[in-house]
Amino acid sequence: MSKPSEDVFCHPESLTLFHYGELDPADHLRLEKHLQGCAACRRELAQLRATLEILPKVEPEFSPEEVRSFNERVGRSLRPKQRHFFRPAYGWSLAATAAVLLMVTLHSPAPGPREKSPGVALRTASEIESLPEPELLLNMELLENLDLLQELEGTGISG
Amino acid sequence: MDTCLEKALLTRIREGDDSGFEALVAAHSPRLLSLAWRLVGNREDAEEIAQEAFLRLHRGIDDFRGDSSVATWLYRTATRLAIDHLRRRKLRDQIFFFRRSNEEADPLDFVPDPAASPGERFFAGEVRQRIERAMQRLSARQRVVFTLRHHEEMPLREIAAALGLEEGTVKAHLHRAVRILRQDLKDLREESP
Repeated sequence: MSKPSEDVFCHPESLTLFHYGELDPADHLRLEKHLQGCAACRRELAQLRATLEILPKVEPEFSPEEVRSFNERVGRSLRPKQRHFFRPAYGWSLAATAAVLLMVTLHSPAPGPREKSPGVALRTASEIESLPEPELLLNMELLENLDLLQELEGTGISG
Repeated sequence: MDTCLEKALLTRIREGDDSGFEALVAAHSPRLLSLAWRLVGNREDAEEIAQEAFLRLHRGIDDFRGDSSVATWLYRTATRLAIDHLRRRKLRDQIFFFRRSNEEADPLDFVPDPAASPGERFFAGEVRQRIERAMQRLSARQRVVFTLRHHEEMPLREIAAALGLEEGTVKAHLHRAVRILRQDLKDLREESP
């Protein structure tokens, strides 16, 4: 039977740390001694090492061309992009257009019912068309316009 | 990189010389890309993480005090970015696909990557899939701690410092990672000669 102090080492965590050389020198020596007399721990350590050996340690390969291309991409990302397209004046005109769209959407009356056509297919299509535009869709449009305005604000081109 | 050279480069960069930063990127990118690749397991995400680490260095270059080397700073930043990335990926997989938790392989995983390097092709195939799947079962921290210790051979003390954790916590992460990998790869071990 093992001594109590040695039983501490009959623990997988100690063997993991032993394998990686992470036990302090005194514990490392003690575990080495323990392994000489404990067949179960020797077997456990052998199995642990067998698993870890399966895991590849080969350096992942980035070819010199790939590394060069990566370096160039990092270099490019450091340079601020020119924003000729999004000038403040352009931002204002976009905002004004969005505001006009909003006004038109809010003030246009909902379409009224239309006359039904005789054909079945045509009648179905016209019935769909004649349905009043749901309020939800109008609100969605409103929200989209608001989103556009917020995006313009976010990009700093509205002011 | 030599400390004096590094200091000279930092001075040039602070003075607005972009070529100084390009030299810094060229010196550190091969190892940073490799580290990121090991941490997250694929090339595209590894490049994103490495690029973000460089951009953060560039943005904060005026505040970089030089308490640690640029290399240490970059590896630490990439490691933390990788943990965030792995957590997001795990969450996304769990929410949208349930694939990882069901342990069903994506058939696309078995299609050879035409852009793969010889090293990648060597490990392609079922064994690689099994290992990657086992690695995906680890938590973000377990994976990062295991990768840094097993592949990068970084001492646990340094890993703890890089991640801002207690050494005991890092030991626990390493042990749990090894236990999960042993469990999942048990049959591979028995099949291997």
